[in-house]
Amino acid sequence: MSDAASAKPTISNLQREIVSVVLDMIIPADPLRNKPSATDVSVLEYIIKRHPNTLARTAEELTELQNQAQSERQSDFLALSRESQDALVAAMRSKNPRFLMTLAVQATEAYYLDERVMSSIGMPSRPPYPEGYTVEPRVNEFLLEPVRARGSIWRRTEIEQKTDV
Amino acid sequence: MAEDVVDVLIIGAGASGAAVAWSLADTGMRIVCMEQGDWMNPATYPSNFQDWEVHGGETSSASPNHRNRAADYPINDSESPIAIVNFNAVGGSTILYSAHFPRFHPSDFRVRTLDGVADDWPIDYFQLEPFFAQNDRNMGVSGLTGDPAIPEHQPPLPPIPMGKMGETIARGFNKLGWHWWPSDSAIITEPYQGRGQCLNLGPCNTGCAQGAKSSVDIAYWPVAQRMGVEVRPNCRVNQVTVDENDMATGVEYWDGNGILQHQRAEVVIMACNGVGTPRLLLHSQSARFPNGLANRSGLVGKNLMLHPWGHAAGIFPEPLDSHVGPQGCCLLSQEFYETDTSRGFVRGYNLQITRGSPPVATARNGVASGTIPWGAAHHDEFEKRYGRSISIGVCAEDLPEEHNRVVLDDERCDSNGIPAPKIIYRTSENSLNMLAHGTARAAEALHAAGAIEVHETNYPIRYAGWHLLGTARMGSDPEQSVVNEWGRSHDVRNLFIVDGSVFVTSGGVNPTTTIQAVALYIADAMKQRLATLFD
Repeated sequence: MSDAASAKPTISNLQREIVSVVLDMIIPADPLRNKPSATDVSVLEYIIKRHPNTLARTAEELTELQNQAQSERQSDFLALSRESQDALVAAMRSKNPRFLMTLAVQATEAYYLDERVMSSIGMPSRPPYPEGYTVEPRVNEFLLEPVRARGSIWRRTEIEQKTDV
Repeated sequence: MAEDVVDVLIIGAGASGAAVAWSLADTGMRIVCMEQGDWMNPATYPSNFQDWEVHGGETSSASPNHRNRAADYPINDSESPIAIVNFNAVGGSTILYSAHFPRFHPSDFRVRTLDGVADDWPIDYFQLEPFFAQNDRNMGVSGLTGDPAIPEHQPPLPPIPMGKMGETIARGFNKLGWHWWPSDSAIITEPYQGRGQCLNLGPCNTGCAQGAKSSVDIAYWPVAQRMGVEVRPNCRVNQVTVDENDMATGVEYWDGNGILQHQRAEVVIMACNGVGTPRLLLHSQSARFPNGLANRSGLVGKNLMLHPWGHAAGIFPEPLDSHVGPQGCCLLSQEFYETDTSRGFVRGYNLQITRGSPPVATARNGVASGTIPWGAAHHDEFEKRYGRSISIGVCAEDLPEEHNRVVLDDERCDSNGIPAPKIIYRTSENSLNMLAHGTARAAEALHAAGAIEVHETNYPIRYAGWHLLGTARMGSDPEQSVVNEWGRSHDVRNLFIVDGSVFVTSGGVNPTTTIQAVALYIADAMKQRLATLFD
């Protein structure tokens, strides 16, 4: 195996700190619904495990954010106020709708696999099998009355017409 | 030592291969079924795992080109707007199907007589009726007697639960005065023949961990094996061999160790469905059959029908719990199934009402499409969608056209060097008109049921090529068909085809139950003629 193929995807400490801010922009906490922020979910670990080939591109986008902050605001991204950070990211996404989209989609996947999030939306933190779920009711016969009342609607062919099926 | 000869050799262990094997088993003949895939292990299906929505694994994709398992063969679908999806294993594509199980209608067998298009079948619904019923019992089918859109029949098990979502959309159909009915589903709702009932796990389309979905690896094969049928997994057939009398002599195949072998057989039965069967026949070239086996009509691979698919989804104001329950099975509407030329097309379509998306898919699709925004509004929008959506699929009848076809690809091969199939397919104007009508009617039904948002998907949906029909059609005229009215090749008297290839028309519904009924009918016809089978 080549070094390139065997190398683990990496992300710098600065990029980690920036991603932490961006994740909170994507899905912030909602205390009323008892939902954590995406920052509090192991998004990077999820990406490294499930989508390692995409990490380099996401890291590049985070560096782009830092560079844009420096060139446009003469400041590190992390030193900006949250409002300025939001505005910068919004402007970059407005210019390029694909910007940070991969991160957003993967963060969303990781978020809705988190036990706290599952619990907050009323789903038990377990595999579907073997316990399964309950669906009620079976069939509401009352609703079928007008359908039955119309009578048969299938189209007769010459065979049924001859034999009066 | 004399070469081993089996009485019947079946190629393919999917829906039709299992049915024909089961039926022929009571003859006491020696029957072998070769399958290029292996047995599946339900303990590996995603619903065994908490991260099932992103779990991956062997069943995570329905496209053989994406899945790329050793058992798969690539399919060149670059000249088709619809990509082929399937599965290769003991159980075939029933491992991944949604088990929506509506039957063809009587009119589907008489489209030339009734509507002046395509051709009539050489058999009719009522000839197949006992085989539909037998198949319902063998598979374990749940449903409700009395559907006025189809001749009376009695599914052996009570229907799948409609849930709140089912009731909601049913009210919409009632408001419009349109037909709807709980779908016949090949999912058992009560313990049945040693199998446990449906637990509403949800993800039927990645394999059923409970075994409640009637894939044929659990519904048919264990019974057929107990009756003496031998299944040989991991055996890929290269070609059907023939002698100078135009009789099949058996098959050349790669065994599980990758060694090329020959198995002699008195009868060969093709059960690889509408892409695999023509591929193998076209590849089985010889001096007697330079254009492919059983192809003196030139029709092998032609008249491919795929059921172009449309879709609309609605968001409702109240929680419907639509994220749980068997995803592909709930209700159907056949209000627009039969021809009404004032609609701008002939023939018709089925509306298949399916459940909403689970959490990851709801959120991921919403974020990717922009309907769920970044920021605090994420939670509001997620809540607005999750468990509150209903989907309606439009399954459009596809009419046979010779230019829609399966050929052998010039470049791509499977791992044994057998040329890949190439799909050359155009969606007809009739189908496009049907999809436009169907998608609009699906949206209308969702609005009538109270949807606050309705989204229509562009059609035809690309990864929806499940239903592979028509490429070795049945008929009485050897110049206009590949097999006769009981599935025997016109050209090779001990070669039979029992899968969706033999369909003359496609109907407007998921075809598995009709494929299996046809397979059981052909098996029965063979048994009736055992003494004169090759005459």
